[in-house]
Amino acid sequence: MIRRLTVIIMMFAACIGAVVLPNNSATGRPQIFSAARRLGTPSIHQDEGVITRTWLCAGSAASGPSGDGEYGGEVVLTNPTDAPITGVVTILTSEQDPLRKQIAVEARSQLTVDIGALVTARYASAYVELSDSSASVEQRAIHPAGVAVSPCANSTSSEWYFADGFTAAASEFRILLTNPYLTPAILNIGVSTEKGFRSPQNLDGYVIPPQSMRVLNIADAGFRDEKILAISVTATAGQIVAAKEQHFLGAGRLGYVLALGSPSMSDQWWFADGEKGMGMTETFKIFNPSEEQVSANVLIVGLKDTVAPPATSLTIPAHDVVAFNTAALVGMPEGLHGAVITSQSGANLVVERILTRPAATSVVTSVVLGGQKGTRSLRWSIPTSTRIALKDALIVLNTSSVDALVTVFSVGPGGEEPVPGLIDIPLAANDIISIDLIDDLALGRALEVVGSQTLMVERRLERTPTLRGRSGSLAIPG
Amino acid sequence: MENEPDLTHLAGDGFEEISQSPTPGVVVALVVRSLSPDLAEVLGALALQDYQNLQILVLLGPGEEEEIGQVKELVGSTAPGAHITELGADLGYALAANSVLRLVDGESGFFLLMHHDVVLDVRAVSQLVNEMQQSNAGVCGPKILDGDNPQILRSVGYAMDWFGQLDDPIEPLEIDQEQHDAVRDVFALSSACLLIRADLFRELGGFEPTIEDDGAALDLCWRSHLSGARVMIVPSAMARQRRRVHAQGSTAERTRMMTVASLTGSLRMLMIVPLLFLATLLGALVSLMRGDGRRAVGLLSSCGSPITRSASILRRRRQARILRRVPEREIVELQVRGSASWRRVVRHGSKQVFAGHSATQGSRERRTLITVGWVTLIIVLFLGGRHLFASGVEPIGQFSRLPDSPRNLISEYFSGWRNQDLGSSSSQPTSMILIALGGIVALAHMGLVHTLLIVGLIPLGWFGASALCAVVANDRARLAGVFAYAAVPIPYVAMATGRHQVLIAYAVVPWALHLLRSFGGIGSSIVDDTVGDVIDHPSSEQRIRLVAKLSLLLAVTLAFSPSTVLVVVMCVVLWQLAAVIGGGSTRAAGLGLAGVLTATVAAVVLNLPWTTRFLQADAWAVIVGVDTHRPSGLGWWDLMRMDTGPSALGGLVLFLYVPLFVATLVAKNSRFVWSIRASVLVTGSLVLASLDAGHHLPFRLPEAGMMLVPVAIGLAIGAAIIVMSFGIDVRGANFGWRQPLAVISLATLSISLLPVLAAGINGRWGQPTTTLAGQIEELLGDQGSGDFRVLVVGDTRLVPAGQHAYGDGLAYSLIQNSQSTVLDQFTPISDDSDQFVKPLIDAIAQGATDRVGRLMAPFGIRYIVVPVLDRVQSTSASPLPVASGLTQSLGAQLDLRSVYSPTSMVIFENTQWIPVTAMLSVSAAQGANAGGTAALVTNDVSGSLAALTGTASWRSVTQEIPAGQLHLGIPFDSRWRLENATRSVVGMASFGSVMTFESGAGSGRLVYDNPVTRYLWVFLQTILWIIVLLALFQPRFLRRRINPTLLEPVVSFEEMS
Repeated sequence: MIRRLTVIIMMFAACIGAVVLPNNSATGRPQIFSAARRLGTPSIHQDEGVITRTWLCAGSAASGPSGDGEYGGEVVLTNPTDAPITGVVTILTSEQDPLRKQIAVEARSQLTVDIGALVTARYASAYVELSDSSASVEQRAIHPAGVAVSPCANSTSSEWYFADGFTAAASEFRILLTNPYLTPAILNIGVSTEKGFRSPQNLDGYVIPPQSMRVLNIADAGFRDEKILAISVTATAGQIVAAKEQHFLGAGRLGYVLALGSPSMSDQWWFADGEKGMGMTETFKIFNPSEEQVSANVLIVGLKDTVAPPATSLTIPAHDVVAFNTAALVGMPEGLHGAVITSQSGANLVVERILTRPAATSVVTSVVLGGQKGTRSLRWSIPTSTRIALKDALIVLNTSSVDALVTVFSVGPGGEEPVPGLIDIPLAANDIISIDLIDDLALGRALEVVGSQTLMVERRLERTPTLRGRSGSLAIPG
Repeated sequence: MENEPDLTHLAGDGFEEISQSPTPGVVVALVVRSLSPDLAEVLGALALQDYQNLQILVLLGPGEEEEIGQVKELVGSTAPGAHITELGADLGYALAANSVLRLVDGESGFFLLMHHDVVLDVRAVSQLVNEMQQSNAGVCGPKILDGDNPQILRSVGYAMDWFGQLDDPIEPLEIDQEQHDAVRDVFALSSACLLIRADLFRELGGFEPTIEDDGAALDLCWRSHLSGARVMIVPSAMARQRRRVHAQGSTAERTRMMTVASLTGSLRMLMIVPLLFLATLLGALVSLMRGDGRRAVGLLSSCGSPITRSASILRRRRQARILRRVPEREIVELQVRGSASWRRVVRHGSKQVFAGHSATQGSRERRTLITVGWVTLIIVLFLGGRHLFASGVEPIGQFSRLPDSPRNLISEYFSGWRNQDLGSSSSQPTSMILIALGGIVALAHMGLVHTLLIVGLIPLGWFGASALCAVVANDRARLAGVFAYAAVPIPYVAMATGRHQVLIAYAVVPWALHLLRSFGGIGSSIVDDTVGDVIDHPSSEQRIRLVAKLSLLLAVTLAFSPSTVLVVVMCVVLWQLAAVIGGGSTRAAGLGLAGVLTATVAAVVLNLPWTTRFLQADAWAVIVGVDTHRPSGLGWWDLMRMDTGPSALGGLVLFLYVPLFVATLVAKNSRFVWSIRASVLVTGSLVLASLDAGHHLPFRLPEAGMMLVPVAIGLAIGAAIIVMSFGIDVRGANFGWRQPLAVISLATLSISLLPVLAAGINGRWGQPTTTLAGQIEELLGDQGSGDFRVLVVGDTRLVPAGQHAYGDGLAYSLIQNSQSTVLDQFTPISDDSDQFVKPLIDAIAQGATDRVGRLMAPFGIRYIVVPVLDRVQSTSASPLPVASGLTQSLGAQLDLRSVYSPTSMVIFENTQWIPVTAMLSVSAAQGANAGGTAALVTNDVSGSLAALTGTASWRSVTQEIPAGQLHLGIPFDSRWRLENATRSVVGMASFGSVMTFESGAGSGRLVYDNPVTRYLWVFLQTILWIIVLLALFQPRFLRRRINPTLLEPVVSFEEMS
């Protein structure tokens, strides 16, 4: 009987032991094949393991010279490394089969591919596959109303957002949709206006054939004379690249913009440039594409020797867009400033800044999509800088709470060289400086802005050598 | 004296009438195998024979020295003049009796050949001799009565039909009323006792040495007829014999089949052979319907003996031809027309009769219960899987289809090239040749083999449980154990989820434990009052046979499921533990452990060189399977309920734990040891499975379903023990807590059977009608553009075929031409997949390139499939989540085109793919020559044209090919060459990973030069398997023989006369 009891007790003890042990496998964690690639502000990720790195450009008009000027596009590739980089440029249009061109970018140099010289089409977009991850690719859209520089995207996305659209005074607003893949992409396009959100039937199930691009004229789609337009593009099948082309013709805006949309929503949007002054208008279009109402804060930063106005809280209804004019802020001083727009309820905002500045007797409008959370970087690449000496060409915001030193390097045949006069520029915490590019070493070359703290860098480039005013664009972090 | 024979009843009236005339000598050859209780009586009866010219020759088999001494002493005291000859080996009755040919000199007398348990009437010999002389007979036999009840008839000779079936003229338990007392010719006599002329016996060469016991008498009598000698029954000569156990099943049937094939006339054979097979098949069918499965199996297995033993048959026919003095038609006239079996059934529905003994087994009630029980199980099996028997098992999980052709399988097995994954010079899995052999037996009906290899494992497990539960020595209790084993949801969940490994474990582990129990010497009977185990002492031959059986079992198991061997070893270790804490025989358990280790080593050796796969770094993953990601691991409760998959009413299995627990409380003596053994098996396995599920062990164990098989075995033993204990330990004891507990546990046993019935309702054991593998084959099976590969990436529970672990519960596999077979589950030794394909998947995961299609192109990867729903583990109602970023990453590849696909999977087509054998396009050739990843990603490699499609290492395809570069999408291997026109072209590395051949215009074919070592390995492996088979069957020519020089004549007829 003792043996019997002993055995039973031993077995019960073993069972209880096994029961009370925690289950190490019960993590509830889903399987992860690939960490989600952060879709956001284009950046340079240097990675030794990269076999090819693809850059997808926004697309541009490619019809060439016409009576009112030239319509074209260029892809600018920058190789900051000490070895040549090879690759392939593929040009997509709506009319032709894809065209591929093998390229090689010599060490520490740039290569410009003229899209118009390769294809004849109304619009064309390109994607570039390179053998090295250190290179950067930008697009220059050439338009009679100016040149617009825009970094190319790191990846496609199944959703794209545009916070600002404008069709007032017959202004043109087009969405350039590029599908680089071998499978058709099917899109649903929603439009938010002052009157509310609409999802027109003709923009539901919009198909982008494989390896082609389509241009969607928003005004022609039933949204004429709208001062507030925000677009959501959602791919139900496939992934695309979406960009917008805006040609402002009145109602307070003039100029030309061609820029990528935002491939994702974010809870933080950073802007380095911004200015209050005579004849200037600065508006932030804050778009909430989500299904929930969002509370947003607008905080002005980088004010020199002035107490910044308190953060302004805004409520953005679902699928709605709110225009926030900084001039309306009480106590807002004149001069340069940056801004941070944050969401109180997660990643659900897209913010663009529309800045209209006087240019001679007229005005010029620039539209810049902010940098998302995580965009701040110690190093910023400027593949396309100015070819002529420019004052205030670069606007640098110190996003940290520590003072920083900033140096501008020029990338040339000799490698990275600091630009005379632009070495170790002191930059106070949360402060902004504007940098003049006047030294020959800085002109017509790729530049690198390197700080001792995290920075945001925006460019104010010339529209064309002959046109007055500036275009705006973010530099490329990384 | 206790053993003093009572011979008074045998003394007839003529006891004093001893003939004084010269009489022929009679030498009694009494074959004694052991010291039996009847031996004294047998010898005494011989000593009292009224026939004077009689010499007794005791032919003594092997035994302990003490036992032999006792036999000699008994012979000396009972029959003082008897000669004793020690044969030194257990030769069997026939061979032992044949030794009289050497031990007796001369021919002018008779041999009386007797079993050791036949008690003769005092006048039996004289009656036999008289009749022999008067009738001029060659062979005579006495009327044999029952040893326990001399009023019952046992044998009065037999008739025989054309098919060797004996027709006994007496009814079962027929009373002797002298109704059969006429002297008459018969076709055959019982081997128990027969008198034969010495010269005839010499001419016939004695009994046929390859036949044991009863069948030998039929053969001897038949040959006597051929030589013209009469065979007669002499009822006035009487003998008694206790009931003996006779050859059953396949042995008796095989003997009969071979005797007919050996002794029937040549011309007549043309008619008899087809009829014989037909009658045998019909007999098997009838036996099956009567619930006598063992006889059915025996009949069916005997069908192959004329082929497998053709050499023996030819030899016997040659000998019979020399003897033949009587025309065949006269022999046929002696035989019964029609079927003796049928006549017997019509006459009295009796059981099989062979050489004079009704094979009645136990009481009619018990047999009925057993028959009903097994018939119920078989019906449940057939009804539960009725659609599977009609349409075949669906290729879900590990139930991949078998290759179509056994011939191709054999060719591939002999080839040194393994086609799986990317292909490599590698050893082939032994399972390949085993499947091929199965295919040959099934006449190339591979679907049938597939179904049997899967569904057949369930009844195999039941039979194994029956064999293991035989320890209870009570058919009812044994049946309860089998029902308990059949009631667990393990096999039905495995059927529903495609877990072949679990089914194999379910089938094999009980058999392995049964063999190990026998090897260890743990007795099969526990109806006793002995504390601790009942210990048997198997002979060395038996132990060798048991180890050989176990080695073969584990070798075949290892070829299909290495982890099952691990489970067997684990069970034996637990038994060792049980012996220590439960008071069982630690020696027996230790012997069992030694046996399993020996058999495991033998199994590994028998599977060489394939088992060298286990020397690789990923050996453990190969054995226990790829790690499965489970967000919520199986808990203790799930494991106890065996909830490893869909099973209706699965919770009811908990009732099976009640009998086991109660058995531990109420069982006594050896039954207690067995209940402890079962409990330790259950507890230990559950604890280990739980620790494994909770990731508490430093290594992984086989999947939960396999770990639960020992639990099921423990529950089965528990059920058997409680039924047995109820009859022995409970019913006979004073009323107390034991009685109600035992009654409750018996009641719970019946409740737990309900899930089996529920699982079988849909007729497919829960298998879906549409499967992932089937859809892949259907959608992507077009080979019109050349041979290709499909890369499947996803959750380990969904990826078919041979999985390569990819971490975080993910796996990938490569399928040739979208058709996966069961052989794909055995990954080759080569790590080419990990070397070449895994980095490409890494590249997708890490976003290292958007041109992975070009990188995959040289390997012929045309499709990439992400499984989503397999309708088993992942259903539309409860889908498994697709790994984060998987389809998005693939969708971001510029070379991959999304293909319209069902909801069960996401398919991408690689537009850059190059057929596995193809003439490269110009741009692809440039990439091939440049080599390296950089060159490959920048070149468009599409546009290559398929050539020599269908090429395999064992099958060359000849085709006209143009000048250019012939691509072969396998890692570089110098054994491949191109025979182009009249020249032989060696391969070159291309794309940095695969091969090309510079071809000229003309005919071309790819040839693989098989390494000689492969043939040597196959030869060696064949030898090893034959050695184990010889150890198992221990054929006569290997057994210890009597050295003829040692057998000198001890008796002479001349001297006797």
